[in-house]
Amino acid sequence: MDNIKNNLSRTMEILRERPAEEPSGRAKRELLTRLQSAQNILIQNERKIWLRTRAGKEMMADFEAASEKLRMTAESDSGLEGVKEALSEVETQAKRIDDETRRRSMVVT
Amino acid sequence: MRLLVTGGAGRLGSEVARLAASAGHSVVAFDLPQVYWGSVDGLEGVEILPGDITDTGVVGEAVKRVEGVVHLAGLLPPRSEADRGLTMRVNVDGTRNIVEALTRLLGVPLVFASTISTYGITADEEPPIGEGHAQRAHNNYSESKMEAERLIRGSGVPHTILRIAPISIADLVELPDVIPYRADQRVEFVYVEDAARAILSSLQDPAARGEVLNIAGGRSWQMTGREYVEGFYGALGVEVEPVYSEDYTAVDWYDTSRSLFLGYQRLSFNGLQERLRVLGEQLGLR
Repeated sequence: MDNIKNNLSRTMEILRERPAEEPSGRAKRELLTRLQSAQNILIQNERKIWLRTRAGKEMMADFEAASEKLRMTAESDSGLEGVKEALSEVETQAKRIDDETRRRSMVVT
Repeated sequence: MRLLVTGGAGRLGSEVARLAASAGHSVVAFDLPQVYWGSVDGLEGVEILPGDITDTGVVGEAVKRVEGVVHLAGLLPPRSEADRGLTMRVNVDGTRNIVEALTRLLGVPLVFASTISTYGITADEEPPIGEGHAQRAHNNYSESKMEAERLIRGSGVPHTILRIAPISIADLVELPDVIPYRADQRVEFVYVEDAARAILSSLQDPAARGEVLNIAGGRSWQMTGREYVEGFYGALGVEVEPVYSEDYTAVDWYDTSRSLFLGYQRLSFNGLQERLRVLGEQLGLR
């Protein structure tokens, strides 16, 4: 969990450090917003019981791998397109976690 | 028998659909297009019908050619408490749509899922709570269900009203931020499959016609909130730190003697725990 948070935070730092006057400033802001959303999903779900299951741990491992790839892409100084592509995979993993939590919400009539 | 199940994609609705289809009935599962349909999609004998219960025309079409209706669609807490207008539209106007459509079809029976929540907060009373207990609206949900009951009783449609206890399932469910009952409060749940069985029996058994019946788990499910939560998660093999409501809420122990003829109380709480232990091992929690 901490590794994923660190990878996402580090990616945000790298993006923020890029010069503000670059022509793609708007695209950068959009990426930062999407990154923050993925981070928020992680924080909202970090105490969920189902994450302790075998399947939950596998999902978190996939999430961690995607976040690591994203951080490495950002660190490699590749263009925003590369970051965008890697971020899509992070968002897919975040959505899987969010969907599973929703499915497992308590039932009360 | 061809059945319409409103709320047919939900936890209880999908269980009713599955049970009915496995008994040889033809089922039309009706629910909002955007809900998760995975529990019924592809089930043999179950037809999917996405639609909105508040749409009079859609509901009128849905009830055509059916021989029985199970009406489960509705907004539940906590969502029901966020928007009274929407809750009344879905839970009351939606029920009115069903009832008006059925009055045009003579003799098609309706089973309506009401709730034990309509008895209000009864913690300071002597349990168990029977069907003759006064109903007291204490929130949007109970108010809407009481109004829906009134509509059905006055409709002339052959019906059964089931006041169903909170549903329990043999699956890993997440704890809400605040458990909706006190740790020391009396609670009684009912296993989802048993509730589905009660619904189907009500539809098929003429003795249930015109009745208002409590549907709850029975003696083995009567315990305190803490006993339920610890028994449930303990069986799964999970340590939890629940935060319970500080106030008493509308869950209690119920008199189900009048509904026993439906033959639905099959799984004891110990039986549920057995299933949860197996699940906990499968999930890698034990």
